[in-house]
Amino acid sequence: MSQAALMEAEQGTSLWADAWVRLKKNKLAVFGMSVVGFFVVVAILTPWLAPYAYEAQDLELGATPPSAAHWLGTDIFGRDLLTRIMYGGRVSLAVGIIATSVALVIGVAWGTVAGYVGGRTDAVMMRIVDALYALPFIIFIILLMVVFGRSMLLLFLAIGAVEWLTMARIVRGQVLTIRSQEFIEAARSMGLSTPHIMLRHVVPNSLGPIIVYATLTVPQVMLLEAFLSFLGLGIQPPQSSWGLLISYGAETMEDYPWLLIFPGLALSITLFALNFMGDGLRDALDPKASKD
Amino acid sequence: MVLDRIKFVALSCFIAAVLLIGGCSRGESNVSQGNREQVFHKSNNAEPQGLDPHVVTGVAEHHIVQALFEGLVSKNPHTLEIEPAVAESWALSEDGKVYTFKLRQNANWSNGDPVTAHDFAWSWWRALQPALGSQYVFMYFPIKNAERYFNQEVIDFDEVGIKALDDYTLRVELANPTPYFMQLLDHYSTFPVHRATIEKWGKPDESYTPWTRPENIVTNGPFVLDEWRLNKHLMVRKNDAYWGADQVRLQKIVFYPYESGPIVERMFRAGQLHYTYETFIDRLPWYRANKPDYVQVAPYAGTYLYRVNTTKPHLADKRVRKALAMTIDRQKMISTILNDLFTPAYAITPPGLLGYQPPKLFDYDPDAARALLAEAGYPNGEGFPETELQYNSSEQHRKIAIAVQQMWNKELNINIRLQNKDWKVYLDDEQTGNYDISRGGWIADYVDPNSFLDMWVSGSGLNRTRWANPRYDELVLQRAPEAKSREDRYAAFYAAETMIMQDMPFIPIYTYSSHHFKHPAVRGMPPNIMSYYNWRYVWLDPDWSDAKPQQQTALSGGI
Repeated sequence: MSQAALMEAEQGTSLWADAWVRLKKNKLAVFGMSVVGFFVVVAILTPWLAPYAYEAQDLELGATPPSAAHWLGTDIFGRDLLTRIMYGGRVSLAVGIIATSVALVIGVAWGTVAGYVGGRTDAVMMRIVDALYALPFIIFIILLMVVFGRSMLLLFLAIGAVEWLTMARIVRGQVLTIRSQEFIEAARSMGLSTPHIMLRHVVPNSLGPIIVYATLTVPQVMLLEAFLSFLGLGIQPPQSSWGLLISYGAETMEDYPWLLIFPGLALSITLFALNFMGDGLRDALDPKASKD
Repeated sequence: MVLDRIKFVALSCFIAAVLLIGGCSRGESNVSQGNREQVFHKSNNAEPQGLDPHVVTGVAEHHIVQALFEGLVSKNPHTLEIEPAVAESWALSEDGKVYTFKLRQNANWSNGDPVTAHDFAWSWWRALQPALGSQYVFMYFPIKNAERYFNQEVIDFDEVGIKALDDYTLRVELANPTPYFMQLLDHYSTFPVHRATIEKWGKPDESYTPWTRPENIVTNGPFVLDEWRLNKHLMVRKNDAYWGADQVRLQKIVFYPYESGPIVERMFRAGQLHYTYETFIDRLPWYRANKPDYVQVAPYAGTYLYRVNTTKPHLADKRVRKALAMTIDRQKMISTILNDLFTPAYAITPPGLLGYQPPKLFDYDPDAARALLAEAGYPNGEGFPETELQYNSSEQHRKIAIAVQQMWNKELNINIRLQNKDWKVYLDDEQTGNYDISRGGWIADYVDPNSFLDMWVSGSGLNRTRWANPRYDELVLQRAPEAKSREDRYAAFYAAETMIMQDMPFIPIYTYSSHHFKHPAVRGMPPNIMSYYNWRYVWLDPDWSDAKPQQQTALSGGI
């Protein structure tokens, strides 16, 4: 055995590389990732892939079930449903990803600081969270939209800005248990700085619940977007999103069931895939899980 | 042990629930029970805000108030001709200005008091109190000095042309001959109210006092208030003190506040309702094919339109407004997304309103529209600012807006942004002029072209487009009322309407239709242009039978 190989074996694998190996073994997680990846790629390439223009109407055609010309049928305006689902996916996935990331960043930062620093800081920060919880979030979003005007990016940020509260609480709870463990004490006694400890030791060890909750947040924000758009605050016709397609499809499901079924399928497949992916990620990233 | 007990409780709950649901579905439906007992179940679209005829304004309230109160005259539901109600007969003076009403002596309030001419004089005095804030006070303005009294330019009510000569004679003097005055007397804002009851529960000019509560209210119509459960139902029962009680066949009417749509349609299908406020349009094709005798569709005296804010620089040019109007393919839109329910409109008044025919000055013509837009400085839509089309949140308005947006974009190459708004925001933005183009509609308050034309005079609260033309005002406010004959009057209206359609401060889209789900057992509610019915004539035929679908297809084709 050469010197170099010996060195390598002693070095061990990093958390991420380790997790990646474990993740690859989990078939469901791989399946979930590929589905999500597929949807994201389709969403990005939609302007080139879509068979029709999303706003192009053919009133005389009206609502038709799936056919050779329109694979998933058309809505009452004679607009191609496949195209609309593809464009809707852009909005819904963007909302899901951006709003969840916003919630993730704020929630994790807030929760970690509150939990790790503790004491009076913790009390003040968590009371702020409590106060924001008490605020009716729809009114909060409406206020944001009124003050800053209507734009899609702002909608995403606004949704993210109200969804971080639960995340902060979950993270804080995790951090409280972690910070009293020996390895944190060890890190502190070695003289590491507080930010370093938080980033390198605290956050990675609380990733499990964070990821699970993040995958649960994605469908929540997608539905919230549909609700806000329905109120006239989100996106406006002729643009659409999965949530909107579903809510309009549900109104006419007795006559035109495909208008509900296909957008519903797109949303539920995505959510399933996200959940599989989240489960896999949690198992892969949980350092304790590696021992079985 | 504990677990067993929980299981037992859960199981018995489940069994109870199954029995309950099963029991309900086996029971008699509202409709078949109602047909037997003459109980009419009607969906009314909204919870009534109140029952005071001088205060309420909504359509939901209208249907209830008409069952509870009765004015001097009412209309025949078949012909829409005026017919006697509390007034037995009336005479009009030579100059067309003075009406003398003879009241019937057997008209009673529900507590037994007689309905007298003094009741009317007092009620009308009350409606004219500025503090009461009656939204329909303009219904009184044809009466001499009524408007000035309301504006407090005349202080003494004796100067207003309303006099009770004796208990059963009412004399009404008008400012000008007003051919549609009798139509106004069938509107609920001119119905009488019971003075002693109102004075007992508050000041006469106070609105929403407890006098309309079931235990307090005294009414003079064919029905009295029986029960009012908020957000559940409002029930009225036959008034035995009513002068025409012999003719009234319904024993009870139940009004449900549910908003029309899929849920009400399902309730109707399940036999919970006799009559709905309107149909659920998406289900109309199915009903037309399968249950044609369960729907009633008729043209309606109302116009769906888009108001244009004429103060916006790019919309101030009437060529632009015309171009917009000419690129809406109304017929295509109606025959596709609107289920063939309406008629295209090219003017504000619906055609054939008591013999009046509106002018038709334009048609669907995208080529001419493009030329007009180019003339106005926007060749091929270049430089045309993004324009907002606002509508109050509703499925129907959204559909029409999406279709119109696409037509304008395709034919004129201009960008339209859609914006749906909550009703109050929408109304506020419209009133303050904070809009580009805004959805609107107008339903006649009475059967006369005037109801559609006097709203566009300058300064009218309903105009909202900031369009004003003194010549138009003169035609509608001066020449038409003073016209000696119906022909002259209609000529003035025609000239006025031509003027406004040349300027196009609003874009007419379609003439409304009334459309209801109606159970075949319902009698005495014939289709008419006002969707008017008189509860006095309505009854339920317990021996109704489902008509043969073949015969009915021919019938519905006629609609």
